[in-house]
Amino acid sequence: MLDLLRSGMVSIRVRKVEIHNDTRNSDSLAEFNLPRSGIEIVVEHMDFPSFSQQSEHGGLAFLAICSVRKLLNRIHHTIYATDQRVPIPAAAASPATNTTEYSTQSSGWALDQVAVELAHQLENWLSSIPKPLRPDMNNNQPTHLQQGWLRLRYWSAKHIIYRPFLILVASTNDPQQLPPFYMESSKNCIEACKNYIETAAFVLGHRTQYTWMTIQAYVSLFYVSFERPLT
Amino acid sequence: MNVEDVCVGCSLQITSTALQHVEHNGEIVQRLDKLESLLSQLQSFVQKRATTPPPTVQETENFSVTDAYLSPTLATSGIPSISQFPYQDVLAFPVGIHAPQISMQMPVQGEGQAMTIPIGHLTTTGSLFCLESIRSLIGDYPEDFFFQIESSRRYVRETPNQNLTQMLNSLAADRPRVEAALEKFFFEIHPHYPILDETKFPIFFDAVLSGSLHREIDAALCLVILALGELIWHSPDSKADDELDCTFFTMAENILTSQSAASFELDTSLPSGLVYAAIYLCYLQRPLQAWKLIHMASTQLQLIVSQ
Repeated sequence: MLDLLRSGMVSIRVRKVEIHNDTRNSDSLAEFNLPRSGIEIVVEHMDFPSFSQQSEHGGLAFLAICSVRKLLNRIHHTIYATDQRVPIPAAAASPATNTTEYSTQSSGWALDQVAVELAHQLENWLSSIPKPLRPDMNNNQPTHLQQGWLRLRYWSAKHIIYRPFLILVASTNDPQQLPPFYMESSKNCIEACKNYIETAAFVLGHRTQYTWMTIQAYVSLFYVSFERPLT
Repeated sequence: MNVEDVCVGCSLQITSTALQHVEHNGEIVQRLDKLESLLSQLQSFVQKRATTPPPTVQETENFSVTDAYLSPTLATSGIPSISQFPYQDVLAFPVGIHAPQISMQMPVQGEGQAMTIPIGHLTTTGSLFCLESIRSLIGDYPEDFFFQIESSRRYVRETPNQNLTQMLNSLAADRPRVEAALEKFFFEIHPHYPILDETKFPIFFDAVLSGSLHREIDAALCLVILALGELIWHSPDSKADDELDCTFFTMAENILTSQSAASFELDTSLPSGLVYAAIYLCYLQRPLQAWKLIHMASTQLQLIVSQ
């Protein structure tokens, strides 16, 4: 009887817990480079969870967060992982750019092409969010926390897509000699940082589970946006 | 709370903790002062931004995908059913729809491990601080600077002055308190972490309070949900985190961590409780302690899956 009660009363799906677990874990792993638990091997082969009608709205927002987590990880893998076959901007091969943060172990894939593609994927993610949930990115005043968090994820992803260009431009003596795309990407990065900071001001006004992470990114993006001013 | 409060609070916290654990205190303090000075500029920056027109999203215009690949229902109506919402397809769409020349060349690394952050990536704040251009702004910091700060923060929980039975009995006698906390939990927290069944969980909670279910793990899950619901009542400015009453959480955490070491039961109360306890710690801005609980939950879940 108790077993029946337990299984019937608590409809907790292992799949949901695992996806939550990994989503939550990724943020800490990202910042602290902590050891993995091994759960990621299981999660990689799982579908996203489904939700009941009652929790559909929250479920959709949660799925949006899961999918942008995947995109963020893809950005990490493609641009920043210290791994093989990572892209590299042509200009990064010069000795003057030894302060870049993205991997320089390999070459062959142009970072500008990769950035265009990832930015395209980010816009696809945004446009795939159903209209009742989709934030208006022309306005940095969220109406509620969940929307604020979606915005933060968007601006965070955008900033890390373009950050290598800003770092490169800021560490180059004559940025005007770089391709126009580099300057444009640097501006995109700074714009993303500014928008993140504005949105974070709203989110940090509430008690949330995102506070530490938001402050951490806030500090990081603040300094990125205060790199050498672009002319 | 405004932006300045957040920035100042953050930097003061960093300052006080770092002083105890990083060598060359004077030098570090100077750098942190510089950091704080830069952060203080932020308020005028934000005010200035607030008076300018909002930016446009140029990429949205360039990549006019909008709802093109969504189902007609998604594109034209209100909230669709989950089955119609192709989030998985969002990231698995044919690469380079708008830039076919890229699709032929770009390696999509991590395709098979997209939910996993890569080992050794370079986007942490610590990595950023090690860049020469950033170091010229703020000085030298170790790459694990934030780990040093967080790992050195004091983490002590007072032992509850009630045992579990007494705590559950007092809650059974105060149903309005339980109902209010559950309502708050499902309104504020559940949408971010929709693990529990909103309809069935209150019945489960009642079964625990009435003694129909008397496993410690089930009680711990209920207590941590209760703790989260009550935590939300407090605004960030109303109480410092150290002043919050964490009695329910502490009881739950004690049970969950001890059971995590001892239990081989294959149900989801333990990993769910651990995940929610980790979320509670995230609300208290304790990322490392939260990670430890998540790590425990992961181990338990792998055990369940393997069986």
